Amino acid sequence: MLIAEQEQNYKFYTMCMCLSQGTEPIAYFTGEGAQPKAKSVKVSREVLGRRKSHSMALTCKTCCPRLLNRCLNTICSSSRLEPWGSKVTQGHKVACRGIASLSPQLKLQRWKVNKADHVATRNVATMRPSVGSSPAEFADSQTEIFLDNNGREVVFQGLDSRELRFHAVWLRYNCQCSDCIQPHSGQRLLESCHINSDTTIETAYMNDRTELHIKWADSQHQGHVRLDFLQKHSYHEARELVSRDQESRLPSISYEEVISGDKGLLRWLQHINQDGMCLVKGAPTEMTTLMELVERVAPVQTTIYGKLFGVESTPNPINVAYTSVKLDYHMDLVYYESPPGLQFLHCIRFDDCVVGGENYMLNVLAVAERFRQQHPADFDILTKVPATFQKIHFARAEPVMMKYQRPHINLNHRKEIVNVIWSPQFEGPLSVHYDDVEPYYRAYHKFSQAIKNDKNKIQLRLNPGEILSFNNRTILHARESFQLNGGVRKLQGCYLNIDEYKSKLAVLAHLHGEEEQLKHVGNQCWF
Amino acid sequence: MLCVSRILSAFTPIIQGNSRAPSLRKVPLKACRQLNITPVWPIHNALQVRSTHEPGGVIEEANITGNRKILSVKWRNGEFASFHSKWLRFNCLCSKCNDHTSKSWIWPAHQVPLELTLKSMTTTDNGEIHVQWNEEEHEGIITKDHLLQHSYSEENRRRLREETKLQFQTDMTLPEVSWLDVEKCEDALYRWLRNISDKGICLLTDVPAEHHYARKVLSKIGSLTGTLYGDIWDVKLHKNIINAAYGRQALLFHTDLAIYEAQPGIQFLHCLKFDDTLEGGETLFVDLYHIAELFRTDYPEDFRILTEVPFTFTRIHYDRADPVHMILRKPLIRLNDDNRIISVTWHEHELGPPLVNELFARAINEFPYKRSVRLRKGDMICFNNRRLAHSRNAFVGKGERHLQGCYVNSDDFKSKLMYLSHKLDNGRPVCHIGNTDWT
Repeated sequence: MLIAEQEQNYKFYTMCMCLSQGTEPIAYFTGEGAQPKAKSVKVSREVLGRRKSHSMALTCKTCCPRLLNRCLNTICSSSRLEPWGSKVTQGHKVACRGIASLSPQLKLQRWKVNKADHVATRNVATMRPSVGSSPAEFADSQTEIFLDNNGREVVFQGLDSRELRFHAVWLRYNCQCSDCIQPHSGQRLLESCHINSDTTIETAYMNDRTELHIKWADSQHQGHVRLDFLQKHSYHEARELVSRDQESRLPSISYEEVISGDKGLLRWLQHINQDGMCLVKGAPTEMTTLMELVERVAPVQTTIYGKLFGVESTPNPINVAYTSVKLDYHMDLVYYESPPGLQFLHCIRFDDCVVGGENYMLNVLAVAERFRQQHPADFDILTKVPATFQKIHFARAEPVMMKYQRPHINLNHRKEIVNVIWSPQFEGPLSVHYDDVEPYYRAYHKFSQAIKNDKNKIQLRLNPGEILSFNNRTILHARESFQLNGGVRKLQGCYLNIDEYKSKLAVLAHLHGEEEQLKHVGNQCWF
Repeated sequence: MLCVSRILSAFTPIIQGNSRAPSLRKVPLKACRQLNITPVWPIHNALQVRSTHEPGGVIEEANITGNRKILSVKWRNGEFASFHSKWLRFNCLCSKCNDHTSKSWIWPAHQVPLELTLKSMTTTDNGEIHVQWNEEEHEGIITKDHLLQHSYSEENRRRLREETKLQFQTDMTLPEVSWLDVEKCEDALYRWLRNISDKGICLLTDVPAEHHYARKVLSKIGSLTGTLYGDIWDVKLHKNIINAAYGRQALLFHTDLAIYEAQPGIQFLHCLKFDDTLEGGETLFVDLYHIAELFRTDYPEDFRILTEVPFTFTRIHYDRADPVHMILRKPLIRLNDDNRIISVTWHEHELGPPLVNELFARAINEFPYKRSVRLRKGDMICFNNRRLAHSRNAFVGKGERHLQGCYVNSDDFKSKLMYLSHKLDNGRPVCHIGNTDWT
């Protein structure tokens, strides 16, 4: 039984107790406070039972902050105390306040514990979660925090000894107080040239298990960082390399669901994030439908083809898509630094007499990942030798002269695939070192074969009222040639910027409490 | 009364076949306005590709060499170039491979054989080269002009690199062009865009101080690039500050909206009002490319870190009409395969490797070559947001400072400039504009 006496002003108490979990002694510590009392104090269960929501303050002193934290955590869990604020200082004094309720299972015994025992008891298996296993569990009551390396690091440690470390200077850069971040806009006000890269921390403590409060020694600046932010941005543990390999799938969703509200919109965008594509069924075949739908996400991306483009066979096409020929696998507008993110193809008309004209979809990141396994040397070439992409066309209302060079495959610093650019129709003359030409074409040939032979293709014939929505940065699309036979095949298309799509998805996911890690969207983000 | 012949005489060297274009500055623009003519160089057939490799654009000799995998060419000026058999195949301009209307490659890439050796090569009088390969039944057609322009010989690549190299200025004069000229004269439009491209900045004067007039100005280039701040945004004091620029405080050096994969390219700030009673409020500019090159020399190891370790750029703001949650991680500096800087970005307030961050921040803040501009009503400052970092001094006093800002995408800007260069300036290459292009 936890024995304590409370006072209304949260003064510190003298405590003398030993905690045990079952029959195992865990720790013993003594404390001293502002008003020394008897060595043991009692408060009856009934008293506390009548006044369930009051706090008590405990002060404990020990030579080992880790042990102290552990003890406090044990007290809290056993007695269902919630530490309201636990402070770890260099003087190793800890204060903890919380809402108390009695746990009859807790037993008190007088035991002495030395360091060796303390080490041993730390390995006692418990049901407690480890640090960082999930956002909700990060920095829970079982987590210890302490300073290390002369205040240069803050360490969060779980009972399974897993650690998350954050450098003092990193925390300084990420301080979220109102002096460092403009409250309304969230923009950083902190001037990096005024930060001492050798800064150290004087004190750090968790407040309500939502924030880490910090005082830096050199500047005496006091700030805080949210714990969920630390959880999300922890850099200490090596992240597993992310493979982009996955099976191809084309999920579908009804138009009614998408326009029903934010939840439907979120579901649609999540499908696109997970599988790279999604078919919206049951939309009207009006010419205004597509833009109205897409602008619920973000403003339509304007390109050299305007905001909306019609995909049907025309006499003098400004794009090969505006013909009836077969189109091989490609992405659109890769001569832009940021090619269109999401692409939408709304089927207005697709008469039954039209033969051919099916669409094909293929996840190119997955193809590239498999290609890396099978042909690592050729994969390497495709990440280093830049191809040329261009659109040079003067016989149009707005003449265009665009040329862009970049490798087909881009990696981040961890060698994970960041994006793939594939659009043979818009390739221009290769302009690279003489010795790179033959290796490049060899790798290019093999990759084009890999795309042709990949079995994970999705084939579909659009029906009027269906909107094919896909990520133009991760999914290649192709089209079979077609014969109109007197009929009409008419699609309407538009694009969304990749960053604005991702932002909307993140906002909706956050607002609906579905904040899982979003999948990489194929832009040039290195994460 | 201006003499028309004096204007036309500026064109004469072109008409006589001398492909070295006279300086556009010699063309009297005032004359153009008065006579209401646009000084379009008459020599251009827009569909012809001009070469900057002069003189000697004709092939003197062409042979199949290198185990039948190479076409070796000797130009009339004595230089050599070699073209791989595979390269020739992918540059075939016949109607089976190239759709002439839309200018797209239509031959399936996977149907080109892995190995290709040259069977035969013939030249024609109309400037074409016909090629046949052993492994494929295909009559390849390539033009001499195409080979000339796209030669990837070391000399040609070196020449291109020199021509597109950024020139750094130490005199901080601000180039100026009047909107009254740009509105009427394509030549002035070209000069305006050239200044932005080559020097990174140009002041456009005499722009009517009307709301959203910037839209009309930018229609000369292409479409506005909308961002999370809309198409055209107002830089003035706001009650709800969704951006630090909407206050009075000083702004540190930064480039706008690094959270976008393609940051806004060219930024335009149109001054509608800037009362004399206000003190401060000048806009300052520094050339990040210049700073980065000096940084590379002085701190090579730290420079390497800036190219390899990603910074985190964020804009997470829910308390606004359209909440945004944008995070992008990328290195500050990107290099191409020749180790040339192809993109630099900077935002003082974003997160990166601390020590290097501090060093680079100091390099920027202590850089001696800063341009300071106090805008006047009717001025529009146009600058490359991918090359110049800008900042603002704090301003105090009673009065109003109202600018309207907008952006044009780097690729759209460069496309317009390249087209005008092709039309008016013999296709003079456009230097790198910071859009991560590996060219």
